[in-house]
Amino acid sequence: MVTKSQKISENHGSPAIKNFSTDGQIVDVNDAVITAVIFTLDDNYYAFNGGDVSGIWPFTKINFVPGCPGFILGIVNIRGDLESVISLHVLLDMEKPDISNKTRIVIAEKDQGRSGILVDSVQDVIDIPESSFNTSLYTHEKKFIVGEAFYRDKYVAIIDLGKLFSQIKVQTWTQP
Amino acid sequence: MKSIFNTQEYLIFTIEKIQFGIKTNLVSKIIPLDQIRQEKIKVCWFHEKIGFYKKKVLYQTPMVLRIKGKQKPMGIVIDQPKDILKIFKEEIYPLPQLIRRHAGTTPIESVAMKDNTIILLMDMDHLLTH
Repeated sequence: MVTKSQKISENHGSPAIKNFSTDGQIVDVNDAVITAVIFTLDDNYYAFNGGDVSGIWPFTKINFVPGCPGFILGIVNIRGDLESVISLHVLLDMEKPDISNKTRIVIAEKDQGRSGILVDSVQDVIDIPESSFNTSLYTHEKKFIVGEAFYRDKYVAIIDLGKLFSQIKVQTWTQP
Repeated sequence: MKSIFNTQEYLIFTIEKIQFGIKTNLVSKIIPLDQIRQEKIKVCWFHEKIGFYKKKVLYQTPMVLRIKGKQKPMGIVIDQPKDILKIFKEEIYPLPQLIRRHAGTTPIESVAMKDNTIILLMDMDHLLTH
């Protein structure tokens, strides 16, 4: 048994991974790691599974599409591909974000759902030991938030993109 | 390979900074709004037909397109008609899956990406019956 920091440094040693806060917990050396895309919304930290993310792009003009529910911001042209863009701010009942030079569009795909997702900033892409995700017994008002982890001593809410897309699929949304 | 045989002409207009395209072969006439009474056709506003989220939409230079409908001709008020563009089939894309699912009744047929500009292409039959 070694501490998380020992194990991660030995196996990977990248600067991003070294930033991971361990809080001195003891983990198994065979603990699997998950790549997490850590991002912010309204100064809160969230994470997607990196395996579900196919790209992270700087903000580009979003073209509004009339007739869509409020959480769909519109469509963007990303290197010749047309992508929809959704707002987690709307889905999480947050204020409309200010666009800054840190704003990003994360292209995510899971379980036949695919879309760009607007986030305030992408902080890091890191490997986190699976055991450090607290998902068992975790409940949240928003069903697509499935667990929590810690990154640089900050609480990170984990978003399951499959559940996000399936919730979007079945739920009826009203326009703003 | 792009070929002139794979093109369709679209009338491009703008409402609330969004560009729309309508096939020119469906348009028989463009009439200033203040002269529409002479035409004696039913007229509707474009933004009402496509479910704009804003109740009030400001039209800068409103014009009426006389549309050759499947039944009666009809007028539709649009804004800022600015160009007629030839759009290649290769420049036309389906709406992204998420938008298709949530705007299922939308009369937006597809999207053209031309010179880094996004143009929403309308299904006029759907629009007129929407």
